[in-house]
Amino acid sequence: MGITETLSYSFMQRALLAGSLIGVLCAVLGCFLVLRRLSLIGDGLAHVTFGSVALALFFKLYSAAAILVSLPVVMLCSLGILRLSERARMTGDTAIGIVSSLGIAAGVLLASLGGGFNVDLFSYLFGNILAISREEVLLAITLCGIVLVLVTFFYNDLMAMTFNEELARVSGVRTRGISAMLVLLTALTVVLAMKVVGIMLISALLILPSSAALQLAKGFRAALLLSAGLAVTGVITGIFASVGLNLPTGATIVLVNFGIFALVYSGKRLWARD
Amino acid sequence: MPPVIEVSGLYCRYGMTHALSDVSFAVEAGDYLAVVGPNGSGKSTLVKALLGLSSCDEGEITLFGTPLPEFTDWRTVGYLPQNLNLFNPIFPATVSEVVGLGLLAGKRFPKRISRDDKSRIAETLEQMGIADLRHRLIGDLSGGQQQRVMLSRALVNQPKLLILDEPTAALDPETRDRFYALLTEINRNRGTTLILVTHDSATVGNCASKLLYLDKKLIFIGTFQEFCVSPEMTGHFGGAAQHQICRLH
Repeated sequence: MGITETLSYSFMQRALLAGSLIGVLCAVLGCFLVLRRLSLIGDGLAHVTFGSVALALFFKLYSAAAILVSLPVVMLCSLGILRLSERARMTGDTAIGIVSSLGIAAGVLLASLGGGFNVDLFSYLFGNILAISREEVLLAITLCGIVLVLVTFFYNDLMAMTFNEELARVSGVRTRGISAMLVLLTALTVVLAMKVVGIMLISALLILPSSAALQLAKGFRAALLLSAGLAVTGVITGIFASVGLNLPTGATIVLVNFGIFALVYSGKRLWARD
Repeated sequence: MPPVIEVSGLYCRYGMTHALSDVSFAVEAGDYLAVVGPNGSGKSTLVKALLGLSSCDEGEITLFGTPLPEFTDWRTVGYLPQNLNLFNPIFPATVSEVVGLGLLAGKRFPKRISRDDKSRIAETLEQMGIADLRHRLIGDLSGGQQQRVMLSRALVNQPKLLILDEPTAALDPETRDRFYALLTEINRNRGTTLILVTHDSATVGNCASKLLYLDKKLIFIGTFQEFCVSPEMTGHFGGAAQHQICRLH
């Protein structure tokens, strides 16, 4: 099947559009999270997404409806992680661990109580971007628009806070509000990304493109743009490779992203040696 | 004209531990106040309270005559925190971007670096003697160079008050002396009010116009000459130690 023919299928068009948009979101937010040493929040929130999808399936809600059930639950839990790490004298990773295990436990419990929907739950665990519906694409476009507008509007504050929170506060940045916004946007992105690579692999989309970009970039704005570019390249290449080679799409996207990271990392080391 | 800072009856606690008890003092415009004291004496707690970064149990702080909770003009205040884990070393910002943060933080889209901002950044870097580093990544610089970049960030807004919390802790003696000379120049030539928190009471005696000695409560505030003959300090240190610090100058 040639590229032109592959592109003529509406499911491919939907997958490429939604995958690229979600890739950009993950890449941009990933830069802030990696630099703030919050990389694993994506993993923690993905586990909560597992619980929230199980909740949606328990009530026989599928597709876009499952996303709409997941969004408030995961956003609430993201604020819970933030509050625990700020107020309860515990580090961010401990707070992520607590909320994440709660999400998995709730998911397993609901799956056991609901019976019968384990197959559906598996499709969310490993993702299937090729099966993304028109409603899910529209939802992805809307939410991506919201996230990108907010990141652009608060760019200076986000960069200042990521560099040093205390300094940002003294410069008049409302760091508590900006932190809350960052974790809420991450929650939103994680819920959207579960369709692309699946709950199990979401954190890879947040971490790999941004980590590769941070190896190369010579400026913060450049890092964000490069990260977004690498993510889109990884998602598009991954989708085509999975269709061409008949491989699972989510895992292929992650492996392509890992390949890009490995190339950038080893290329940089070789360059430095010369 | 109101004092730049006025602190009255400040009490701060961490759990059951008193970090500061009944601290009152004022800092006038143009002062260069060195806050000294042993480890755990409450110096950093005082700085965080002055900047509104942590709240205390009792007492009042005013900045430029405005009570701290109502103070919003943070562009007039520059701050340089301790040089430990100040930022993630892989943060991919250039020196210009970091200094530009001093102008942009707290300002929303569509505010970007203007031509005026660029010339102000260039001027500040020139004055700090690091103009040639402006395109370098901050993580690639030495400790002394990073400290100058952070000082440039604090100064780019031309603040009336500059607060520095143990800024020389990670510097070698030569770089430290150059850093102190730079601070004296900023205080004298620009008229910037300085508050410098340090362990190093012997060295700052040469440059600061006032010394505040803290040990969970205010033990002494006055000039270095007064410090050398202060009965409070003799009582606190013992005569021999006081004499030794003063003889170094």
